[in-house]
Amino acid sequence: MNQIDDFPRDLHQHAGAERSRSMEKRSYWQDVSLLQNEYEIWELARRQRGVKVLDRSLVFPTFFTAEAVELLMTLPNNFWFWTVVQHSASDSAGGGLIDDVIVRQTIAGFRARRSSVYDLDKPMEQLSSFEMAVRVVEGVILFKSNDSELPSDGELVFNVMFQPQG
Amino acid sequence: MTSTFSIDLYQIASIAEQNSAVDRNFTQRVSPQMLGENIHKLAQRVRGVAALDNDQVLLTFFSAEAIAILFTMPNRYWFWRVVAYSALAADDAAEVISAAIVKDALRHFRSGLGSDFDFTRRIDQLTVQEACLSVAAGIILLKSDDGLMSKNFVPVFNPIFQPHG
Repeated sequence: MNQIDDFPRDLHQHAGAERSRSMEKRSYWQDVSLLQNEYEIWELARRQRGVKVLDRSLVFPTFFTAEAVELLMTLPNNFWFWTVVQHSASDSAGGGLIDDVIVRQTIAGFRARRSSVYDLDKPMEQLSSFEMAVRVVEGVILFKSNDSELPSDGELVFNVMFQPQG
Repeated sequence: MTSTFSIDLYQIASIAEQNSAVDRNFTQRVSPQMLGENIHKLAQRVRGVAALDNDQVLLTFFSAEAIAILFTMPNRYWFWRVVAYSALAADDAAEVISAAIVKDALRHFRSGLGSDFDFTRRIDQLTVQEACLSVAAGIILLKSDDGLMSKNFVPVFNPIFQPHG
């Protein structure tokens, strides 16, 4: 692999653009495993490795350790995926793959910031309509449905990043 | 002629819309001061001047009546979304984009969600699921006097989707 020390910078920039693009869908659950099929990140990975052909399954392992990729794939939608990637790339020292410790720290940081605003351990059934709505807008609680366009038949689920603990 | 600026205006508005997506579900004041450098430069180019007051920028592209409607938008995201749609729908032969075009844009967004939401229902009549869906879609917005980290949001209708009558 043709690893370049400053690859986190390119990844950070790409993730920032993707984060902006996916912001409108931050309240909806999506399958993030499909992201490895997107052209731009594939092209970034291909360039990073210095190869002409790259299997899609190797896109994210170009930047992250296997443990980190596994963790990223548990994220609930494109917005949160790219947000975590962007911050992890920013926090990475460079010179090697980004590991799961950095990804976990990034997720913990988001959780800590939200928990300073409201009680993340409060069960969903104890929240008022608009406590729920605020959490939905912020992507703390998500609509999960088979219909990604309008999940009116979907269920409200906790984003795994903000799941009540204990 | 709007054809001299409509594509550039659309591109500037689309980028601004994307950049302000984080504001989409919250009320905020829109004013000439928040327009930004890109549209200001476009207005200067269209007018062929080196300097321009903030309150003249939108008048380069829209009629006064259209601007009055734009400043009723509840936040930057919806403001730029309506500007972008109006720029695409502009009448090439007109000097500026009219209020009728802006009203068409509002109708477009309203009818786009009208098949999935009942805009006549009061906020306090909505179930938790309906309230959350309405807020996520931007039909109901969260209003606060103490910023995005507030614990005291009040739900209000987005004026685009306000029940009529």
